[in-house]
Amino acid sequence: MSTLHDVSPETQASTDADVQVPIEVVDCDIHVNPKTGTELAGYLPEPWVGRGFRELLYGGGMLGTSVIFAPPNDGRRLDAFSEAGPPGSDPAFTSRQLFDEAGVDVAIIVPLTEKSSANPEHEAAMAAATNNWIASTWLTQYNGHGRYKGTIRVSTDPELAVAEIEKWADHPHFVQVMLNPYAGGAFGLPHYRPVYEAAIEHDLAVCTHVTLQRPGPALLTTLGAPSYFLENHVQFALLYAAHLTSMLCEGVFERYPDLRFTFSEGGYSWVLPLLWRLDRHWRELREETPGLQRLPSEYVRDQVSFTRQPVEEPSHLRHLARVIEWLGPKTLEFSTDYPHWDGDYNTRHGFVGVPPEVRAQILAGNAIEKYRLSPTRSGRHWSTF
Amino acid sequence: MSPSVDFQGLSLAELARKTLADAAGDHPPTFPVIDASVHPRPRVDELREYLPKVWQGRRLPAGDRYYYPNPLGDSIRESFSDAGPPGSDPALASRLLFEEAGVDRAILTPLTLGLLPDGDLLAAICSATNEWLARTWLGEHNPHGRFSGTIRVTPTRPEAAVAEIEKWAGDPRFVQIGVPLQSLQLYGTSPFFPIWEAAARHNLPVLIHADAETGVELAPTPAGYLRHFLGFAAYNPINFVNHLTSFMVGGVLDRLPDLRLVFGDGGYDLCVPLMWRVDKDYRPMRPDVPWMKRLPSEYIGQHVRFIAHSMEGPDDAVLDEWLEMGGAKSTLMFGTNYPSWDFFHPSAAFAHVEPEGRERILATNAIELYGLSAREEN
Repeated sequence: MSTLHDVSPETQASTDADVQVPIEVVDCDIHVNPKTGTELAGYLPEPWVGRGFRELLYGGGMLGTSVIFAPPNDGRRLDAFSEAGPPGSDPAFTSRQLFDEAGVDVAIIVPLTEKSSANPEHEAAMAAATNNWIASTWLTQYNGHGRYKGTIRVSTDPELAVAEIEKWADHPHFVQVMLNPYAGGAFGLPHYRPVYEAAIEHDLAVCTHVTLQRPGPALLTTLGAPSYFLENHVQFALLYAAHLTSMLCEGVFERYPDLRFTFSEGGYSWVLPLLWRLDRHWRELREETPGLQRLPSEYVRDQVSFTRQPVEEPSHLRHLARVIEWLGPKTLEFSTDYPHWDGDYNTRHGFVGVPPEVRAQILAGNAIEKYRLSPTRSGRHWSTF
Repeated sequence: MSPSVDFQGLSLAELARKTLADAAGDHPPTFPVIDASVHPRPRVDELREYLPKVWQGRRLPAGDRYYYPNPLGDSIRESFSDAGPPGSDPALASRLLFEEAGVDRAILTPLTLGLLPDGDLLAAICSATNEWLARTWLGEHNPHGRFSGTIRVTPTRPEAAVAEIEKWAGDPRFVQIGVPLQSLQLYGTSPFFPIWEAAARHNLPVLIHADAETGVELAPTPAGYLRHFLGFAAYNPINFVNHLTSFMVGGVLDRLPDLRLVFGDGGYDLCVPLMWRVDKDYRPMRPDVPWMKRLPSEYIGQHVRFIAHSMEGPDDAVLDEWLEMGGAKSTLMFGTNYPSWDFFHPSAAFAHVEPEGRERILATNAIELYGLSAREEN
């Protein structure tokens, strides 16, 4: 892997301002951070500031406190720290690592800067702070090149979520809404319908993303508490399997054929046996689920995707290609999880036996379609904007 | 208890829409089939007779699933009889399994009314169930010797569980220990270790199987309750993953090389991708679990068996390939799940898998695991 010093922005900058280059790699899952907790807290809306909640919600350090399991390196890539701040906080440094080194054309920011909170109004306030912050920094000030796209964080309270979506819907760089997978119940429950409707109305995709394990409904399994992060990390798949099962059985995809839903960072291959199970049960039991008119797997093939990192690594590399073939080419999207400890940056890795056109779809085509991205971008180097 | 409670003139048997014939396929095996999953059930009045006096007046739940009504009924229609609820009639079960379905031998696992919060009562129910099974299905109804049994214990009372294992371990009719899938604490954690140690000491595999619901379990998914039986039935078995990873990271499999785990509700289908994932995670996270000496997937072959379930896995076109990918031909056993609605008929099971693999799954793997000796024809 090249070091930062191997790549000089000057040598890559195009002299022709109008040249467009095709988008070949869309990174569907990166995480950016404020340089300090105070920076983010400055975006908290009233009435919470006046009531002293800036300190309560952001005080005592910020993110990562009260986490009982520590992923390796505290969850971060050691070479992503810069003089300017913690990983993912320095736009020039991040752009160099993502755009220059990893060859990413467009990166979808999923900010994990909002803590879980028992009070959905606090959650809404912190979501608003995150959205305000990201809109004015990463999506505007740092984004003259337009290669960063954003995710609208929302409260688990559907009314508050819809209000937040409405607030940002016309922003040119917000492309999706993120639901918190831990609180609020399984995603098929009817109280989510207004959220899906708002997203569809504004042509936004919807995703969910696991976050660090803080107090609140995050860690307990169906059979007791895990003791180690290794267990918990595997259980991401079971959490997403529950949400997907709920959405299918409740008829979410039948009701909303325009809904595009993404499960981020929870694995991929488990979806295949889950769908085999659901298809078999549907054939026998479909009278129970009027909202499910077709085989569950058909909805998933058309409307659901999974981000790839951490990419699965079977001992026989071609096995993953078979899973992709069975699940269908629209279901997988490239992601690096920058700047986290277990990121995947290699756009060749994990594609043994995958046809070139499917690889291109996974690297970019699926995301371009889902997020309504332009298939090209300016060829000018990001640092010249 | 009445076997057929009338509802608007319909008996439960008539409400049961699945039949043995529905489940049958076109490929009856040409070798003796071992059915590793049959669920006999004492009538509640029968069970009471085996309980110590102090418990005899206690309320006992019916042990039925009612939170998710199954549109097809919980049991196959043929399993209803005047003798009691489905699974309570050994003569009927023998006829259906041995004569009609072509099973040669069956491993019996009675369920024990679920995760009763009074662990002392549950331990007493387990003891009573074992005594009942030994006298009836494994005793007077077992002249053919085709039934083997499961020692039921409750992990919520480890001392009682160990005592129960010691009591029956010398009885060759019992071939494994049985515990519920449901638990408020993961099975790889330390309170349960003496149970697994006793099982390993006696070379008895531990079957983990979903039991009845009582209302004191944790929600069946980490996202809370699903609202349809369809989703619940498809999802619930995969909760085995939590126990399996707990056994691994808790070091139980390293400490007990002879321990064998049997997941009784299926799950081999998910084992493939989950082992890809946990193998990858193991490498960087090994410092957290230094007692875990091997890649997670390497424990599977030595320690873990799955009982195949009719409602899981791919269609025939790719079944053989998926079995190969997970090494499942040596870890998978067959079970009908009698008298459950999702009865897996031997003539429909793994019919298009190459013959050697099919015989391993439908017979050999169970014969080896349980040390079943050849049966004399009578």
